[in-house]
Amino acid sequence: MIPVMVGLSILIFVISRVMPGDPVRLALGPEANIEQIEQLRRQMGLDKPVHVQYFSYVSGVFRGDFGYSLLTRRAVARDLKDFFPATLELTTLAMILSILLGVPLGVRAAVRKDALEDHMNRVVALAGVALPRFWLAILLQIAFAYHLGLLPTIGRGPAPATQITGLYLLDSLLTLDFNAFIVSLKHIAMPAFALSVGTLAQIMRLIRASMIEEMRRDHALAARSYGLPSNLIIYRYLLKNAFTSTLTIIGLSYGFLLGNAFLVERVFAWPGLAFYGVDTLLAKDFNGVIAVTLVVGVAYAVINLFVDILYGYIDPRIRYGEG
Amino acid sequence: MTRQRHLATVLAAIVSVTLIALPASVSSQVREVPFTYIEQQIITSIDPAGAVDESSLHSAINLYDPLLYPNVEKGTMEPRPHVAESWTISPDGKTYTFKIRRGIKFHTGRDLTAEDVVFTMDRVLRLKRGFFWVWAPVLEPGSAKAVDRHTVRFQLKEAYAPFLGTMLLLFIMDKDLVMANLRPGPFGEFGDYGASLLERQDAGSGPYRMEKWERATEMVMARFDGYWRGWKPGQITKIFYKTVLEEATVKTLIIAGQADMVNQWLSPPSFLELKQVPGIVVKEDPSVQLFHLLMNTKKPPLDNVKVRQAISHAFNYDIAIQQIFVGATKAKGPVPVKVPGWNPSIVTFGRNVARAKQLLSEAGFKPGEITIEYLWITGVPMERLIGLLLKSNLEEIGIKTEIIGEPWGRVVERAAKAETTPHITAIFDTLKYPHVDSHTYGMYHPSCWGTFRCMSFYENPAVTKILEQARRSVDTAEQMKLYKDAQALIVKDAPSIYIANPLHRIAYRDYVKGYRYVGLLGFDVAFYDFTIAR
Repeated sequence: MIPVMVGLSILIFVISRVMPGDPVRLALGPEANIEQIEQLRRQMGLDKPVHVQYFSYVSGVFRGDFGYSLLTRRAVARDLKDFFPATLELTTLAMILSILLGVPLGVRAAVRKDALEDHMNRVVALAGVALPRFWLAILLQIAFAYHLGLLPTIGRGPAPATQITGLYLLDSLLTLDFNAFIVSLKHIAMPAFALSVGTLAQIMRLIRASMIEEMRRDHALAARSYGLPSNLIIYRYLLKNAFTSTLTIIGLSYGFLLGNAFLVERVFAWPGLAFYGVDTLLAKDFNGVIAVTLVVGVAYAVINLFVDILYGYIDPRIRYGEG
Repeated sequence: MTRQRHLATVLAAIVSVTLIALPASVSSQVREVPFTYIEQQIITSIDPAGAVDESSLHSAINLYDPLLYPNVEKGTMEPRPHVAESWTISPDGKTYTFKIRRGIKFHTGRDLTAEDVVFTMDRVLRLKRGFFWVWAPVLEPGSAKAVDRHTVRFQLKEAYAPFLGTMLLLFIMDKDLVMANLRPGPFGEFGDYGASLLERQDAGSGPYRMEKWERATEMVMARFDGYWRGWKPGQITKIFYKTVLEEATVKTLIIAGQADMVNQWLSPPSFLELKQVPGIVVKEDPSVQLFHLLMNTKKPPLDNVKVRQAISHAFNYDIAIQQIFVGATKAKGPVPVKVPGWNPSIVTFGRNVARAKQLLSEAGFKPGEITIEYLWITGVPMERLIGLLLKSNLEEIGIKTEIIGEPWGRVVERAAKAETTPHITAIFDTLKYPHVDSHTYGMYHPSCWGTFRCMSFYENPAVTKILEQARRSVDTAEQMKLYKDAQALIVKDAPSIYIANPLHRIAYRDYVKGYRYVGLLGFDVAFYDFTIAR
């Protein structure tokens, strides 16, 4: 993981420096004169050679200092503290929804293979994969916020009175503030669902395919011939085997959503990291871009490490150090 | 398994019921007269010394008081008394003395005095941020002095025609509050000059004080009870200033009644759509913006005035106005027609293909010999449409056009040098300060080369001299005459294709009263001026 992060940091650092556009001119505004530009360039250390800038940046990162954001005009670490929890919360809930809905629907489709229910599930899955998330997000807004008035159109809602993790749902539960929990849940419901649909459809299709394969295996036939209850065979034995490949997709999707929730965050004015990341990119805010990339990279690596550990739990054949 | 399924069903039912049963606006605990405004730009700073974009100016205008204020009551951008209740100008135009109004209180409760005005100006000049460039030619730290508690004097290096107008952009801050909250920084005894403090709270005396600011999403401002202009029933007491970037969401919010006003950055089709919605007002005003195509006068073959004139004659202005800038006024020179000091007697170029061909021939070019690069800013699709129109127009006179889109950051970078600046660049240029100087000296004096405003790299010693004389002139009539003369000469040299003064549009619910647009960026969204008549 460490070599990956070092490689990632060098790569993104170099890319950010060779991208066209001058971040200092952008930050100071179009009327800035040469004196202002040079002053800020010196303050940011951008007048130094790239390798000096890199080592200075990396040593700062180890102290928790990601530099100064030209976009938000404050420390990038403060930005990350504000924006990352919002995306983490949104993405986590979207993944939970994807799994909770995708797995049972996939199983049902496999069990009822080629029946009407299976066909309908496959059509829904195809639509889920094909449907642009931002478009679905707008449709949800029109239906649930505009016409029905059930859910708020934008934002995360007010922060709970006591913030512990920055995840509003979790914080409100930890502090037993159920009113805040409901408010936060209402705010996150539409964005989380819009974000989850693509992954949900993927999980559903994978589970269906894997389950159909598992159901054809000898041990499934043996279990059935022993007269074991159908649900026990499906959920206890077959699903466990079928879930391994899906777990890979879940790990990859989780990491992917962390950095790519931009369009959904934009439609719902969700103050998340993806939204911030795109803004920093457009403003060519070096420090912001690198910090977001590193955070998403670390999250990606950690999630996939966790997935690797889960493999061993689900499938004893691939436990490390055994066999 | 049955028990698990049962549990899941119960949980799902609880979630559904709670989602549906509670109203969507539990989050909005409001009092008296709340108001929701939607902006499509993030407020990057609430420090008025750094406010140059619209959203940051909104925060400055509502949280602080400028020294002078545009005369919105009379529908003009001319400065009128505000924090300064009166002023005198010395005969040589170098000394401005302002009398500070008594009884103005900062949000801390302290009286606003001349010392605060001096501190504010020195701070901007030392920070070198925001509108620093407007004052830098004539002021330096120490140029402003407090004569007594309620008198402040600015000593300019030389007479400066736009000076009075620039006082609309000097937002006075509480010196004591800032000085009591200094942190280590690069400004010696002034440390960080309060930058850290002004990230968290305001230091103003404006009609509203900041209650909450969550970057990228929302700022909440509440009425300042001690505001010196007093309060009337119906005025807004609490503002929810929300940042929403997605246009579809912005429209949904105002149509659904979840927003009271939405900003000017919606596309023309969206404003047309909102016009059809009962209960929504789309206010349209001629703007003080110029849309023009800057021609790089240092880059061959556009260094030849006849080629520039030929291009100016080839362009189809009518189609641009009728089909692309619907509702706009055709630009008549560099100064928007709404700005005092615009020269109405200017003869601008019109479409005349035969004349264009003749000029090109006189310049020594044959059809097919010239290829030019047209640059538009990605994200501004109108500029691309104009590029396509220009391309087809120029084909008629045998000039080939390469249309290139680049992000704003790249455009600004390319503007730094004449060699990197393309032949033609599409630019929307808004009045920077309430004076004709902004669109004359600010765009055609060589001192501005290197910025996006001067991508024509225009140089005419006669014009330069007139512009410098105009700036130094203390006789207003003579000053205006000089600016008008300069406009006439500039247009003749064709450093730009002057296309349109677009409409300024904004949408709000019909119960909002008091909206006034005078042209200056940000001053139309002064919430103190609005009343709600439901």
